[in-house]
Amino acid sequence: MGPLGNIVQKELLEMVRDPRLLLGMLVVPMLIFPVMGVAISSTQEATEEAMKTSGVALYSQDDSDGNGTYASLLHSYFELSNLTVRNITAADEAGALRKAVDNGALVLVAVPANFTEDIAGLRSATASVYAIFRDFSMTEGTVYAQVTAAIDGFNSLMVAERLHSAYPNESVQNLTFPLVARSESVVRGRAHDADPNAVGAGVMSSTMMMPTMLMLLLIMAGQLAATSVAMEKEQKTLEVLLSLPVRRINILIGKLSGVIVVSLLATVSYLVGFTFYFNSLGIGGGQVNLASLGLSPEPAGLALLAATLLLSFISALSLAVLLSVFTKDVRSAQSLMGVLYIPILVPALILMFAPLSSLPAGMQAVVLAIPFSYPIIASQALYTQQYLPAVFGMIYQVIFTAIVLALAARIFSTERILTAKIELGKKRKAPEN
Amino acid sequence: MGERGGLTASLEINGLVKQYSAQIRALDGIDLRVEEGEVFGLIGPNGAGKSTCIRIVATLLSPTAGTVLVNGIDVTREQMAVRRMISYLPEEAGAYENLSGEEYLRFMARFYGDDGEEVLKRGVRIADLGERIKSKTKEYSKGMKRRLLIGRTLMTESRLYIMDEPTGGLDVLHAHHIRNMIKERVKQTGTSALVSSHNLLEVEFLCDRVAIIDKGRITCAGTPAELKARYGSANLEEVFMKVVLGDRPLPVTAGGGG
Repeated sequence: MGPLGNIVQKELLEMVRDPRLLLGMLVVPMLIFPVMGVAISSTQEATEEAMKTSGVALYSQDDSDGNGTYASLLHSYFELSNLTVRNITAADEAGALRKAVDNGALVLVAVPANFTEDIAGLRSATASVYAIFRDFSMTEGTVYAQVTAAIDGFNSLMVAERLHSAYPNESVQNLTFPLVARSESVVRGRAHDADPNAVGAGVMSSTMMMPTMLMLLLIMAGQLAATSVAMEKEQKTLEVLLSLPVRRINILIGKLSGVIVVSLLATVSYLVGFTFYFNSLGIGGGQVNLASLGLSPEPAGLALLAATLLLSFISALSLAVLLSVFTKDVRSAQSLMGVLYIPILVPALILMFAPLSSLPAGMQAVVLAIPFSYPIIASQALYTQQYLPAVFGMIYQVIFTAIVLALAARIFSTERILTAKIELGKKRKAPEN
Repeated sequence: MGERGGLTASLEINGLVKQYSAQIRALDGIDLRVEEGEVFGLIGPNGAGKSTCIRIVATLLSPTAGTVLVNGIDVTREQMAVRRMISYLPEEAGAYENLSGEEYLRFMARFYGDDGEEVLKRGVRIADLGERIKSKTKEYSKGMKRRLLIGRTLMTESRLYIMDEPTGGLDVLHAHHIRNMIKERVKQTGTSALVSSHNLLEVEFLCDRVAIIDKGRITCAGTPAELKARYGSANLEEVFMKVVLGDRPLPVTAGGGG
């Protein structure tokens, strides 16, 4: 085994055997997303259960109460909307509200005395809707939203009935919707029978997933790279390592390779976790088949994405190693890494919400100057097929990475690696003779 | 360069200066020579410049002025060639916590040979940790860790062993074992050692010649017997006190002024 292989093997053994790292970078990401998915599914189930058990209290003062009245129709409409409805009898509305609160209802709908009469007389009836807050949970909000949606449906039904009475020979559909929008999505000049909202959401979810993952991974990998040199200083192993008959560039590349391997393993772990998470939420299953619209990524686009991603890792990790050379211990290295978060987070956040071409010239220049922007640009190019910025970006990343690596290698080969000691939060001491 | 009477010195330092900043001049013109087969002791008070001098020989720091030759090779110009000839043990050294002692030695041994198995066996023997050599180094006591590091330093077939406080943190029995190992290794292989220590009994036992360094300068050098005779002292500690303190009184510690 050559010196480089020897260093890579040592780095991997050190990292994989570190329980904090193993848990933080490999095990937790694989578990956290499925756990989140299960938690959200459980919340949804709990909400549905609460809607069944607590539900809606209906207090009707409609004087023509009985089958066939509009209050009964409203009751049926609530049930059709999967709401559990309980009728409440009380002397007045205040008494009904007290009962609804005591019975654990989430919403009280109070129907006035002249309800059927007003609607039948083509007037508006006013029903009071009380949203009852106890723990301000998602369930309370969901049940209230269901009730208002059911009231909207009831209104549509009443309008249709009125229109039918007034114009018995006309189509209610035509009367209700004088203008009907038949939407199509035009993708690369070709019209497709696909809901534009679904197409936009489908592409958005794919292009947002990449920046989110990239931000998380670059931050974690950067921490790892920064600590790999700082750890040598903290464990007092650096001086011996630097006195060995091995080229300093091999030490640097060996450390970077170890971190890259672990980061790629973490990427797989994240992907597995994310897949479970999205599946458990029912996201990504596809409201619309993007491939049928010609939006399936091309092999060249995927290769470009992989290349920019790998180069981002290498440049971020080289930068992290370069920064960590100047620190004395792991804590200082991790604190100094905060500097690197800004260029990692800024382009991801900007490009998540606006495409590069829509940004003002100054902001475009800033985004293009940051080497970590290009995987996001490449992931968007999968759908836009505008590969040129990503190709130029790749060349820029190579140059940037080469400069950073050369700088890091230069510092590794000088005594600065031993004498540079930034101790964040502590007073710097003179070198010990 | 590096030769006297046809013999190449293991280490030859001429006019060595190290200036960290305008205020800090750690070494101020050091000259010394370590012959083959010799254990050379470098002693001096804290902050005298011992570690800086040792780090320059170990190729970790660059001299501001002067030359340092290991077996006739310049430590500044041909660092890799020098690193192949030296083995260095810093005063404060650790081992990789998630590797076992054996894995640590194997990792180090691989830099000195194709598979380094012979080197590794020697390291395991010198460290003398028994079955604990297979335990992770984070489970080691300070003394065990130091023995592992001594094993690591002496297992290589180097021309010059550089050791800063080699027995620091070891109990009397293990320190004695290690001193014998250092002496045996140097004598058997005809190599040399540069040792820095505050333990002057150890220096007297281990070193063929000694130099006292103070304020970045060599103030005196010779065999322990020569130095004792020169200063009319019974042991090296007395020599050290006379050389470093001169006519100044002993520093009085708090509560010890009587």
